[in-house]
Parts: sequence; structure tokens; C-alpha cells
Amino acid sequence: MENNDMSDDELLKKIINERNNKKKLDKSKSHKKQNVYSKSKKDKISSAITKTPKKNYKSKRLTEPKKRGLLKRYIMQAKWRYHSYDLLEKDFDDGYITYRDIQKSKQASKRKDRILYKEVQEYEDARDDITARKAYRAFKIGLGTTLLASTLALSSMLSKKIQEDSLSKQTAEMDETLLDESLMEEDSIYDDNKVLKERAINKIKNSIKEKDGYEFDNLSLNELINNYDKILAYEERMSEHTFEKALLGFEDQELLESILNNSIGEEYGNSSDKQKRDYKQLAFELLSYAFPEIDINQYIRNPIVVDALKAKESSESLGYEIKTIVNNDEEETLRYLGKIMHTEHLYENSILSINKQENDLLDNIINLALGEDYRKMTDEEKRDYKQFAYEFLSQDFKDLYVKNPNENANINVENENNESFNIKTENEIKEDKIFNVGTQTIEIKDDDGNIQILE
Amino acid sequence: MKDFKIGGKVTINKDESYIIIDIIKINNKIYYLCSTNKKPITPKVFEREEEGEKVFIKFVEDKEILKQIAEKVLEKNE
Repeated sequence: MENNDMSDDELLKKIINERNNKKKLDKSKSHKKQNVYSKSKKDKISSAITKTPKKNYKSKRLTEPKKRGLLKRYIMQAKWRYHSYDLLEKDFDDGYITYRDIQKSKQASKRKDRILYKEVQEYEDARDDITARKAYRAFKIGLGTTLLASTLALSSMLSKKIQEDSLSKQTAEMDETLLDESLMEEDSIYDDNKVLKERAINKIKNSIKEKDGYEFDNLSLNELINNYDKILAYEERMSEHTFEKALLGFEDQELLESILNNSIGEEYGNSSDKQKRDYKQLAFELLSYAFPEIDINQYIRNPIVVDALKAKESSESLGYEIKTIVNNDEEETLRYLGKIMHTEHLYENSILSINKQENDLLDNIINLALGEDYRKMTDEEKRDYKQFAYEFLSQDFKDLYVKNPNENANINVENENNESFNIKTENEIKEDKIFNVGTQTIEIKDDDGNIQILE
Repeated sequence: MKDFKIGGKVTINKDESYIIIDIIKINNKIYYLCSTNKKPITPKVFEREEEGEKVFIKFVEDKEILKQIAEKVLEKNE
């Protein structure tokens, strides 16, 4: 009747509206379905990562998320990895599980009917936990990187600081050592350390070499190191009165000997004559270290002076008088003589230096020892030093290689009747090979041709 | 100035010559470790000294120096 009451137009409009509304309803329903079920798994996960959980729950999830313990989450992750949710996921994707089914299951009174909701909830929790774990892993990696970077920075800073500290400490220690050593250099002659002792004795040796030109050729470095401090210690205990006494009694060299006997007695006694000579020089030189305020030269003669005086006497007995003055004050002369002694030692002990073809060996020796100073000397001075050089040489060496520079050195011999014979010069005798130093045998012929042998 | 090298020959007399086996430096002194050129082969140590431009060489008999040289030679070999 109602339809009859309506006009045809009105009826048509009503039908069209109903149809449209139905269409709209269908469309909205289908759209909803598409929104929920049509998206792929990847799209769901990726969108879950970008959205907040609340939005995620409302828009994507069919169940409410459930708070789970760590162990349960691990179990769920394991299930996910072993594809335990694959069937459920397939049903989910294929649209067999609908929102209505889930809601029905949630609100069901029977336990067995609620299983679907629980399974879906577990699946969704596991799925979402993956994303959460991914984010957590990213966070962990970020945190680890930051921690590692900060640890590295801190450790490098610390190690740098430690290195700087140790270096500065080391430098400070080195400075202290250097300081100590520089301080000890002055008084190191008392130090027990062998290295410092060696340095001290080298210092003493160098100063003696500069002052007197003398070198301890017959004593090894170890002998010097072992004995110099004993000699010095003994000398320091002596009184000034001892020097005066020695000076008055003309026993200065005896004093040196007594110093050596009392300080290094046994070693000194067992030494060779040349070594004893070196020890004597050492004892003399160390006196100026023991008594720095006293001029030792006023009390005791330098052993070089004593050697020179002996040479003078010897030369004079052979007919040549050395006029060069030698005493403690003639420093230059002493230095020259010391240098000559050292060079002669080199010649006497060298196996290569012995050159039998050297015509004037004495000249060569003095030239090598004194150098330019010798060339600048007057002929008289040169002659004197030649004689000194000759006298300082050992007798064996003289016999083999050197002629006495005193060509006119005559040997006056008296026979039993006190008659004097003017015999051959020393060099002439040597040339005739009748002068043997070893046994001091001299063959002498008198005017009648009789031969006398002196021993 | 005379320069000696390892393998060089040091002739003293016609019947006495040595071959340099090693050159060792101790306390700024140069030592030559040599052996006799003829049988029986025996070791010898020479010390080198210089004065001006002249070179002197002498036999070393100091036991301590010989010991030090032996130690140096062993160190080198190690």
C-alpha cells in the first residue's frame, strides 16, 4: 500500500538509495577485509617497525599484546625460527581467521574455544617481538659501538698519559743520573764502581800525559784501576811532616817507594823494573791529588827528573855533558822527556817498528815524540835530547839498533899497572862485535897487541 | 798509515809471519787476532798503537785482555 501511495519517482529514488547504501556497505566491508588480511607479512613487519606499539595494536593486531617472561620469549623466537607458526600464518594470510572469529574466541566461555585467541596472540607476540628484538639489537649495537669507541678513546688517553708519565720519569731519572755522574766526576776517584774508577784513572792518565808527557805503558788498565785508589788512600793518611823529612834527608824517591810498599806492597814487589818505574810515577802524581793545597814539586822530585839525572851522569862518564837543565820546574823539558820515553817504549815493544834500515833511529824517535818542537830546537838542544833518548833506551835495544850519538865517547881503562889505554870508541867496539852487553865483556887490545878481557 | 785487514799477512821475519783472523776493538784499542802461517798453527794477539803517522804492533800477553778478546770473538760467533 505504501508503495502504492508513493509516486513512481519516489519509489525509484528509494530503491536507488537502498542499493547505493548496500553498495557502500559492501564496499566498506570489502575495504576493511583488504586492510586487515590482504597485506603481505613483510609489509606488516615493516610497518610495525615504523609505528608505535599502540597504533600497531589498534591497526594491525587482532589480539592484545601480552607481557611475557624472557624465557617464554626465547621459546617463541625459537618456534618462529623453526616455522611452528607457518600454518597459522598461512590461515591468517588466506583469510580463514577473521576478526570476528578472534573476538568470538576471546569471549568464549569454554577453554577449548579460547585456544584460537591464545594461539593468534602468541603468534602475533612472536612476530612483533622479532621487530622489537631487531630494534633492541640495533640499540645494542649502537650502545656497544659507543662503549667501544669511548673505551678505546679512554684507553688511548690513559696509555698516552702513562707513556708521558714514564717518559718524564725516565728523563728525570736520566737527568738525576747525569747529575750524579757529573757530580761524581770530581770525586769519583773514591768510587767502588769499576766504570767510574776507569773513568777516574783515565782522567788522571790524561792530565799526567798533558803535564809530563808520561804514559803508563808497562801497567795495564786493570792494574791501574786496582791500585791507584789504594795508593791514594795511603797518601792521604800521610802528614806534611813526612815530606819535609824526606826533603831534608834527600830521600824523596825512597819515600815514593815506601808509599808503594805500604799500599800495594805485594804487587809492587812482584812487578818488573819497568812496572815499578810506572808505579813510582803514579805515586808521585797522586800526591798532588792527595794534597791539592801543597806544591809537591817543592818536596819530591819528579821520577822523570831522576831518570834524566841518571842519564846525565851516564853520558858524562862517556865524555859528553848534557847541558839541558832538568828539574821539577822545567815543565817543558819534563814533557819532552816523558814523550821520548813513551815513544821509545813503542819502538822497543813493537814488532813492526824495528826497521833495521833506519839510519838515525834516535832522530826518528825524537821527531815522532816531539814533532814540530824538535825541528824548532837549536842544534845543541837537539844534541842533548838525542843523548837523553839514547840513555833512556834499554841496553838490548841499544846494542841491536842504535849507535851512541857521542861518537867520541872513549873508554879509558886502567890496567893492573895503572896505565891508561885510549881504546876504541864504543861504536867501533860494537861494529867489531866484541861488545856484548849481556855479559858486559869488552875485548881490549893494548899497544903491544895483547888482549885483555874485562867483565 | 798502514791499514790491516782480515786475511792480511803480518810478516815479522822470513820465518815468522801471521795471518789476521779477526780485528777486535776494546777500550778504543785495536787488537788483531792472528794465527801462525805455518804449522803448528797457534793463535796470537797483537795490539795496534799509533804515534803520529807511525803504526806500532806488539804482542799481547795480558791475560785479562786475552780473556776479553776471547769473549768478544765468542759473542761475534753467536
